[in-house]
Amino acid sequence: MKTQKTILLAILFAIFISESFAQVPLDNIFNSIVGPNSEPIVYNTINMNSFDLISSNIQFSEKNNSQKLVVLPFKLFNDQPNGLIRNLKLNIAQKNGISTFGIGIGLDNSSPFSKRGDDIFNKVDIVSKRVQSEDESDLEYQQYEASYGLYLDKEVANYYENLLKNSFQLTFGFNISYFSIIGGDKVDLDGNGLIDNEKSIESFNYSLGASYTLNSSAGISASLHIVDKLGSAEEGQERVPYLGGSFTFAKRILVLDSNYKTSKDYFKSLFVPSIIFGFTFEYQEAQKNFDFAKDGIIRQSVYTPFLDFKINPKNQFRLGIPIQKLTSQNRDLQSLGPFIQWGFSIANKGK
Amino acid sequence: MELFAELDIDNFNEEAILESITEAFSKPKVYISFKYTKKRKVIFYHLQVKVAKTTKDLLQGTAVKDSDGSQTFFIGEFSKNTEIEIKFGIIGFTTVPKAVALIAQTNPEIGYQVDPKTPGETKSIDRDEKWEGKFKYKVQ
Repeated sequence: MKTQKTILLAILFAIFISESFAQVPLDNIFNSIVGPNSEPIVYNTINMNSFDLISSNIQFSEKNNSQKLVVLPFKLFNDQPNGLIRNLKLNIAQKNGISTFGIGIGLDNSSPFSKRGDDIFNKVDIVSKRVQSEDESDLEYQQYEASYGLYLDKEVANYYENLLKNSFQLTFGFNISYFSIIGGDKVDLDGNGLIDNEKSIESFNYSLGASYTLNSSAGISASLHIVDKLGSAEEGQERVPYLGGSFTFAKRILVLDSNYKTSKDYFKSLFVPSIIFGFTFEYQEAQKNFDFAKDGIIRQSVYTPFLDFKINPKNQFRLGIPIQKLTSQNRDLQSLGPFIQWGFSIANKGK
Repeated sequence: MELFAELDIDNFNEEAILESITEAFSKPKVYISFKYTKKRKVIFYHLQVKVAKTTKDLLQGTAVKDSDGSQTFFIGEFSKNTEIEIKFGIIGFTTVPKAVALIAQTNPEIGYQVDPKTPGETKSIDRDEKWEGKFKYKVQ
């Protein structure tokens, strides 16, 4: 029932977003590496690696359902501010009753508004459209105009391909996560003599992420995380500091439409109908106060091979099979929990 | 602009020189300007002017790239009452929230918006969208 409710909310959310931005083209350039889903399990809710105007992902799995939204509000402005301000990000996420709010700043030198974007633009060399010659029929000139239009489309696409090639992105983020009950009367429902809802802040999260995009079909991403977390909201809990990080690699392995280079989606957003294979490794280890670690787990390693199915800009999803190794103070556990992740993003305000 | 075109090299004096300059400088010059949202990247890929049956390519083979938010092209120098037809083409390399085309001439000074036609109204250009326009202008 709970899952059905979550799915319904997710669909309503998607419809709301789609309708709200119906006039905006989906400039989904490349979200597998630099997207908010590059850390699918341990750091999914606090990852802010997205540089799109809006990016969301909704994940369904046996144990963990999460919804998140990353917004870059300054991308809504016609006058684009410079550098760090342009890429100021806000994160809102929810996972298993824990609500997370974050703020981040980033650098993205694949942006057409970056200095690198200006430099690449200044190297663009385009032949102008010629006038109709006296001995040329209208039909011949129309044919020339059509081929010239295609030439321009390719030049725009080339510009964005060059922007992506060997580009990097940096993100520094801070997130704060709250337990589901953040106020009201203090209660001891389980009668153990300890207030159940003594604490409201579940964790403070600091992260530094870096992504490197080789080209539009491959990239890598790495991040460092410092998390200060409570195991529960109950009275007497002490914060557990964690150190961790992640590494992600993704590569396009199959193009679903070999004629994609003449498609409107490619010219508009470099979208390539394709299947992308990727792999993520996430790691987290408690540094002290082991007795207060959530579920007693002091070390967590997650290996997640995944496949991104990019059918069209509005229809993209990811299938992943995380293999988790959990270490508590006295035992090791291994688990397997496939998930499906649905993503939606808009790179920029359309007009 | 050709100066002293009417000056007779076999027979001229100071007065003739001044007359010739006055004639040259009084001829109306026509310009087309494009104003658009600053920092947005556009390419002016087509600009032609047609006078009578002659069409001239004002870009002369090379498209002009720009992101300053303003670009002006000199269309030419014409006699009064000449009818000209101007065609232009611009492509957005990024989305351009606001853009407008204006025409201006000297002697007398005239300037107004030609595209969109309603004064104060602007047009947006999407990434990879081509904005092409054509209008006629009678030199005053």
